[in-house]
Amino acid sequence: MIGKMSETEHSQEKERVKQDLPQRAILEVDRLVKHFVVGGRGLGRRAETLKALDDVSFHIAPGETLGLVGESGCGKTTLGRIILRLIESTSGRVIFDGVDLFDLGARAMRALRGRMQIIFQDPFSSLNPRFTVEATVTEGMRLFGLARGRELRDRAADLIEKVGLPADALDRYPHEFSGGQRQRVGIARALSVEPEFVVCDEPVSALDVSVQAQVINLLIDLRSAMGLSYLFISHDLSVVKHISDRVAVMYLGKIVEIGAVAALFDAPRHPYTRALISAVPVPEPGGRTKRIILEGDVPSPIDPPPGCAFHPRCPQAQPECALAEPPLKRPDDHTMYRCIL
Amino acid sequence: MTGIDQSGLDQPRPPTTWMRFRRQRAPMIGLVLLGGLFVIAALAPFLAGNRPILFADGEGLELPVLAGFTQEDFFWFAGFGAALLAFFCSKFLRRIRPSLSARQGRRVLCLLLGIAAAVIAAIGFSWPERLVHDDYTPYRDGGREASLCVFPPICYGPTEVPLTNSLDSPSLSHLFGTDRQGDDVLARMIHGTRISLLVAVTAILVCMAIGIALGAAAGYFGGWIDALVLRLIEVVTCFPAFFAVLAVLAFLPPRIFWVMLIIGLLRWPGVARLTRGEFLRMRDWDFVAAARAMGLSNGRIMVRHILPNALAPVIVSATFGMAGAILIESGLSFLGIGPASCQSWGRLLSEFRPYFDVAWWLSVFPGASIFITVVALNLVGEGLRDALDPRLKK
Amino acid sequence: MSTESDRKAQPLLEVRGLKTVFGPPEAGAAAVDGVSLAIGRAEALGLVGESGSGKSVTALSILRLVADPPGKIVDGEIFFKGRDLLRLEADAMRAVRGNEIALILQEPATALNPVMTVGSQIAEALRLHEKLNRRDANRRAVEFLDRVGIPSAEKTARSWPHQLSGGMIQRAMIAMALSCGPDLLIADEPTSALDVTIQAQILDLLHRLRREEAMSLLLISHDLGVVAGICDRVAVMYAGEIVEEAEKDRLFERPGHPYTAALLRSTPTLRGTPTLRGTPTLRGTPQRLRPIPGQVPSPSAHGAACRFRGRCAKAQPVCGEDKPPLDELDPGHRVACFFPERKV
Repeated sequence: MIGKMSETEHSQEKERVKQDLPQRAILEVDRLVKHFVVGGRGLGRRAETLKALDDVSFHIAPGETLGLVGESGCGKTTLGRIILRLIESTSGRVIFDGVDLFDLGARAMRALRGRMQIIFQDPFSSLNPRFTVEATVTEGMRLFGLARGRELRDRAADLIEKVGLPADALDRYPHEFSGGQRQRVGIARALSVEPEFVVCDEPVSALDVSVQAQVINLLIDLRSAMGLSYLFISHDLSVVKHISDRVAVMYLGKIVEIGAVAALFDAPRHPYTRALISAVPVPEPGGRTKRIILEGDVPSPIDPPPGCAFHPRCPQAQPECALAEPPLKRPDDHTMYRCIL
Repeated sequence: MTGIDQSGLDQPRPPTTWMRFRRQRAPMIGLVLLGGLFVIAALAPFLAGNRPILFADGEGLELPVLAGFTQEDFFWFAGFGAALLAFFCSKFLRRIRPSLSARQGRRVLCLLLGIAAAVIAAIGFSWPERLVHDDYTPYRDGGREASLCVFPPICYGPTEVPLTNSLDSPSLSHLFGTDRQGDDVLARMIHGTRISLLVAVTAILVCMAIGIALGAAAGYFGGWIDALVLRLIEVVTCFPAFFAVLAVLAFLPPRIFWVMLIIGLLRWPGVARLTRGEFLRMRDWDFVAAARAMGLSNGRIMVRHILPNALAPVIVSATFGMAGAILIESGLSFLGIGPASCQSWGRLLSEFRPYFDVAWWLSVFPGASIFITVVALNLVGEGLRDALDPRLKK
Repeated sequence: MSTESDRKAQPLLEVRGLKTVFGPPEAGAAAVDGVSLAIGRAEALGLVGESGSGKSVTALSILRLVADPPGKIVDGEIFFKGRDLLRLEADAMRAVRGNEIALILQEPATALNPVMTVGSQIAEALRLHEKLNRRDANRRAVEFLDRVGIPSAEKTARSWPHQLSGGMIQRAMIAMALSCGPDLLIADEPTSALDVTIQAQILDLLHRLRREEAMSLLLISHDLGVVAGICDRVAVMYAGEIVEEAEKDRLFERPGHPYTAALLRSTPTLRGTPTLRGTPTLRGTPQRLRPIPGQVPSPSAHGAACRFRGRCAKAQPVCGEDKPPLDELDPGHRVACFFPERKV
């Protein structure tokens, strides 16, 4: 479900989706909106509204990995944090396994947190420098009562081994590790509470190329071993293609296209998706096919263009594109995009 | 499954902060000096007093020095004992039970210290106010003899019934000379150590308690809390410290405790600003978000996660603050503010004023000890700052 | 596109045995250890390597911009248009920098002086090297801003750096680099900090300008794909040494050095894992990436043998005893390995 629709369309959509899914989606995002107020504190500077997310809707089935791609300012990081309720939303719903997160009180929310976790991008700031690896990894276990006493250390040792770190890592501090190893610790921490759903917020973007492959493989292995669902956020399309089942493309706070990974990369529908895919440099003999080069910069979410947000840069823009939001199209059950073409 | 990533872990482990501190020569000297001062303060009655440590006169062995313990003496001595206990426990706990992890070891230590503190408090606060009448000075001055009479190295108390030798220059019997009343200057200085250390520690504790609490709240929550704390900081900073102290002390009973409190209350803005800065810096770090994603409350995040990281600059500032507190107190005492009966080095210095032309020892020795203490604190502070420098940690 | 013989005849830049160390020379932590490469006129060479490979230090060494201390160029020759740059006086070297060899760097945020307008920074270089007066320099600056595709170039020339986006700043940097008509442009990770569509724009711009100006390009990147787009030849660096050098198509089709092959195998790309030797891969199927085990050796652990042996699947005892020389595997394709990948 993408974009603004009338109420009837919306409920028809929900029906259709419900029939599609064999069971309840583990995560459903419904018309999520997030506005930030910026500025307005200095003299003569007005407060402006940054529309980080503008009517975002999608769902993730259990065991599925949804890749979320987009460039800076598209809102993907904000989306990841709102789903875990680390930021409050302006409007819209986030439904985790049938429960509306923003309706929950503090206690109920805390109980739910053990089922959804997050892995961060920056290996430097994602671990507490004063905590040993053991302390970092066992904190969640302690909180949710998953183990106590000696069992804590044993479980921590198991987990550390699962993420590919040596056993003596438990008593060490983050500054003794490399970036890739720290990411492994972060993964171990997220998995320590045995979640069902993990938001991976650019987990390999800050790593060296040769280490990226190791961590990507690890995430894939853990996914099958533990039956996890991922929301994999990244700006790197190659990585997203490698790990995802379905992919959503974001632009200026909206999802412009969602589809199964193979279909989306083979036959992208939305002009932005096409440009994005063609812009990725590929180390291949024979050079590349002709690239679509977009004009201009990524616009600011403070002042998005009217009508279709992409129209100023779209190589196939029509006059109507500036006037109204483009219609939602569903060429088949798994593909959706918003474009007039 | 993916293989084990061992990279870099076979290198020798990077040194801990304590190891890095230990490597520096001057700060270690400072630390040793401070340690020495603590021992002197704690064992003052054993070092300078007119009651013998051991005494036997036919009726068995006695320890008159203990009998003459005041409440203050007891607390210092017990504190020293507790410190020794902690030190030996931390060294030997590992040896007795090697299976204990660092965390459990710390727990045991805290437990032991807690029990010790409770016991000490119970005994100390119920210490009787006794007046000892036995006078052992004849044994010292040569009037009487006993089979065993071991006096402290400096066999004079800080205040005695007036002796005849007032304003004696330093000699073998009075190493630092005597003051106007005839009291041994060295004895007074040894007992004065207590005041200096107490002032430094109390003032800093007050200062840190307030400063850390307010700074953390301001840095973490931002918004109106931050604005309020900043305004408070500005107001308190505007007080001219010295005059504020004078003004307040004019209204309060002349007890050294108030001096310590005031000094602490005036210095908390510095600590608050440091803490606020650290909290502001760290609250956006991902590990804080991770803690929230685990469901930790704000309070727990602040205390368990951010505070240990924020303390480094605060601790450094605290050591320098202690030096400053000692200087302020000395200055006040020198000017004559504060209780007259107080034994502090500053007060010794103040007595120097009328006799500056005849009794140099009344200024040199107290002045030197203030100087040495302040320098020791500064050295330790600098050593801490270098040891804690994150840039060197990589 | 220059041929091998062209390049050999008249290389614009020829680096021979360059060695740059950091820290005390006896400790021998050489970030660049005996690097030799050559770039012909109007040729684009890509220099690829991971962090720690020494590629950025190579670029800085060519321009003698390595901070001394702690770094020092201790050996080698850098011939540029026949002169050895390492033997030049400071004044002469300054005349080369910016004027004959230009440099653009990775981080747009810190590339420009925040208290000078964009136009005046470009004009500054013009007035220094081309000795133009202020008015002419400003006018030329606007012209260059236009050439690099900045819309409303006049307005941009009067703007401050913080008002521009990352992509715009990189374009301005390119304009500044071009303004004095250099023969060689060194670009150190020029697009790593940019969004992918902006990256495509910048790379396209570099490609176009290089053709128009007949300028040589040394493009440094960790991203093989970036280099594949616009370079003619590619050199691969590992732990301070060049381990392979070939024409671009040749390198991706038949990498000779095990490191290059492993790097290609471990990087996810849009076509599944990249095709090696023309084997088609199933698209959309999660391929298992083959990461390179271990990690890059630290400079102190370098030693006089093959530096990749600790991570190489084909390592033999001889790899630990001698250093493999950079030999010709095929014409125009040099590999530093005792057991290069031959055709299957």
